[in-house]
Amino acid sequence: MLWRSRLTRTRKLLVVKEERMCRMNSKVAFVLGLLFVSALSVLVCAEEQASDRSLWTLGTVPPDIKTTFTIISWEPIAKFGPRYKYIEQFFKTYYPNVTLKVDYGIDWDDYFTKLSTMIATGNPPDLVWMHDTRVADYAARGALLPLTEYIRKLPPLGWPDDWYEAQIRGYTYEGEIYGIPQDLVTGCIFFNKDLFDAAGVPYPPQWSTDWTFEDMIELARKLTRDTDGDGRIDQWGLAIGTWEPHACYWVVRAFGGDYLTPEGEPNFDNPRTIEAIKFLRDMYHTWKVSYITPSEVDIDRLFMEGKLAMYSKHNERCSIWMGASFNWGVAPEPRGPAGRCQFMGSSCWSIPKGAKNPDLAYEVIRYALSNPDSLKGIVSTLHCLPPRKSLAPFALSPELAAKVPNYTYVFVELAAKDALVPPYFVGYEEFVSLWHRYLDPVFLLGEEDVRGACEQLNAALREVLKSYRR
Amino acid sequence: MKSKVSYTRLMKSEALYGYIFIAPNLILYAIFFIFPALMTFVLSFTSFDLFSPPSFVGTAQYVRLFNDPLFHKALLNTLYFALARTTLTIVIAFWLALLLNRKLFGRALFRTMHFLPYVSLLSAVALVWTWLFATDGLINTVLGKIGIKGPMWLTSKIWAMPAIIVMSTWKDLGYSILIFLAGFQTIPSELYEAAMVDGANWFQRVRNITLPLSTPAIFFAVVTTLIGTLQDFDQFYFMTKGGPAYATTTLSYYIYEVGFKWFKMGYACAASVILFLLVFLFTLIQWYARRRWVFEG
Repeated sequence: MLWRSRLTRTRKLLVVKEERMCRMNSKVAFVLGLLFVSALSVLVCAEEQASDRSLWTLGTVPPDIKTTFTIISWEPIAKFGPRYKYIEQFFKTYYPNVTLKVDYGIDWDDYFTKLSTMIATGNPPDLVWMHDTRVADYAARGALLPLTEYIRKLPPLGWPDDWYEAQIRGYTYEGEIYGIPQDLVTGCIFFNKDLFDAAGVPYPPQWSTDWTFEDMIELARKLTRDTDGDGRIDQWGLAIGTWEPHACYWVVRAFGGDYLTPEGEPNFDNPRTIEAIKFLRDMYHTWKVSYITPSEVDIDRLFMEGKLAMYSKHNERCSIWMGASFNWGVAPEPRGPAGRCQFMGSSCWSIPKGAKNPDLAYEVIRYALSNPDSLKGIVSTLHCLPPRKSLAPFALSPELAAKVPNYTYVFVELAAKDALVPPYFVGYEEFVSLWHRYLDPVFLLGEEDVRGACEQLNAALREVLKSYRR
Repeated sequence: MKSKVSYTRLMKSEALYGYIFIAPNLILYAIFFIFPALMTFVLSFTSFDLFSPPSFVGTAQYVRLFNDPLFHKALLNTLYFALARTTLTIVIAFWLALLLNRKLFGRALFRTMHFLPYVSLLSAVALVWTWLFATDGLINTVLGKIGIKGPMWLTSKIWAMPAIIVMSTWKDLGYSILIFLAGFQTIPSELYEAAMVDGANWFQRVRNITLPLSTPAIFFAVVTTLIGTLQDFDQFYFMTKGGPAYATTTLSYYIYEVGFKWFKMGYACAASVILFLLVFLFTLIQWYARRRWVFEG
């Protein structure tokens, strides 16, 4: 009995041991399998990451670089935010030891003074948000780094076919590209539907360009009113900016004029340019359909207060006016005597001279402008267009599509045909000062000798351009 | 003899402590004022665009300045603004200080109210006044109610500068009022009592006692206000950007425009030197003229 019971016990022990062995074997096998799969995944991931890294970086900056990367922008956080999100994501993925420092929301009027001072004192940011009006002036003085070589080495996605040629040309100075566009704005005529309805005046065409400057003035005259009968006009028909030369460039071109000749000489003695300037003067002083002011802020205020019927502006304003208490619509700019022209403008990314991390800066630019998610985020916030044609449809959010059904027609399709970037030449800011000196009396004070003012401006601009050529 | 030696030592030691105490201020003053001022003078003889190394051009920038009609315009605008604003500020502030020096109900409140604009942010003040001066703004609306058609203040070559003078005077009145009120406290009350015994009325007391004995305070207020107005910049920057047609471009604004917008920093430095000389000249004239009218009894 004792022997039998011992045998049974031994057998049981053997069975348990065997079971344990079996269980252990299966555990080891499972763990080994898991390790194998993990190793395989790590390998695949590493390979993917390596290929991903080569897609987004130049390979000249060590991944473990420890530095502070600075960016400056005039845009407030609401507009800079979407870009920041993707730029931060870039650093987390590829350069985790880099500290990102962003100085955003700098007042527009102070921005370029600050930027110039930073570059001049040898303490420039790594990446700057630039405006198309300023790139040539900075590039000509060697304050920006050319990006052409970077673009050749590692071009942004879709370069150059998916980008707007007119924009790239605007950022090119003496054969080198100094800025890569990061958004696109195109022009239109915003109109207050409520004022049109109240006056019983038909809206301007929204789905065609079948209207002229005469039609626009006719509508403006009908909508300019003294609503409270105190002898003062308190509802204005039309506003086209004359506070900056680029704001009314589309009018000058539609008259067949221009600020410069194709040879780069001043063109204010051209009868067509003079005719355009006279048209803008008459808008204030002959037809009296425009509120006289040197400031865009006043016009924005009038439109928001529902005291302005038509306002020549660009698509970025859509985001501001979404909250307006009145109904508004968008019409294409009318045709002038020499055809139709539409405003095109943008801001860009540039790398200043003396930047500590220029290669890294180019990688950031490229990532932010190549990543479709990043661009979708940008356009949905700004109501600007992305600088790449293939991504234009993403600009149209559902709210915007409901509010502005002809958005794509006006801002994308027509712009592709008719939009022009104004000539932002070296000395443009000095030209702006001359513009005010000679044309403020015409626009603001009603000086009648338009030809004389234009000829004086022409002579002064010739001297300015000559000084830069020297 | 011994005491004389110890006195000298004491003086030396006190002087040393004095220098130690003012050293931080002197060092910072040298770094942030004297050195930049000297650099401005040096750069005024160069062609310099901020980004490239400056190149020596001798007195060419000064020759250009004297032939530049915009510089002449800016110089005249500066003198017009400075003299008009200083005169207005001193006259109005003096009379307001006289009123605020009387025993009025709520005097402290009125004093605070007059001082508030001085400590307000100029950009915000300028924005509010831009709205007030708008063609359809409050000022023209009020004028319209009494049958006057108000001008287009900030877009008129004639009215833009007076509009800015009015705003700037309102903004800085508080400072001069404070100086005058402090000055009034130093006048012995016995003089007023004696004048009252002699039958002098309020106006006579002001004319014969307050005014002459306040001349040191007036002198100080005139000098500081004039120096400040010659360099005023912000209101032009925020309200008119120097326009229309350079009607409100002062030297300070012109220097900013030429230096930071046109990148002609050498030229801007030459204009800055002229502005410095102008301030220096005005201060010098006042300093020597003070012997004629400031009571230093």
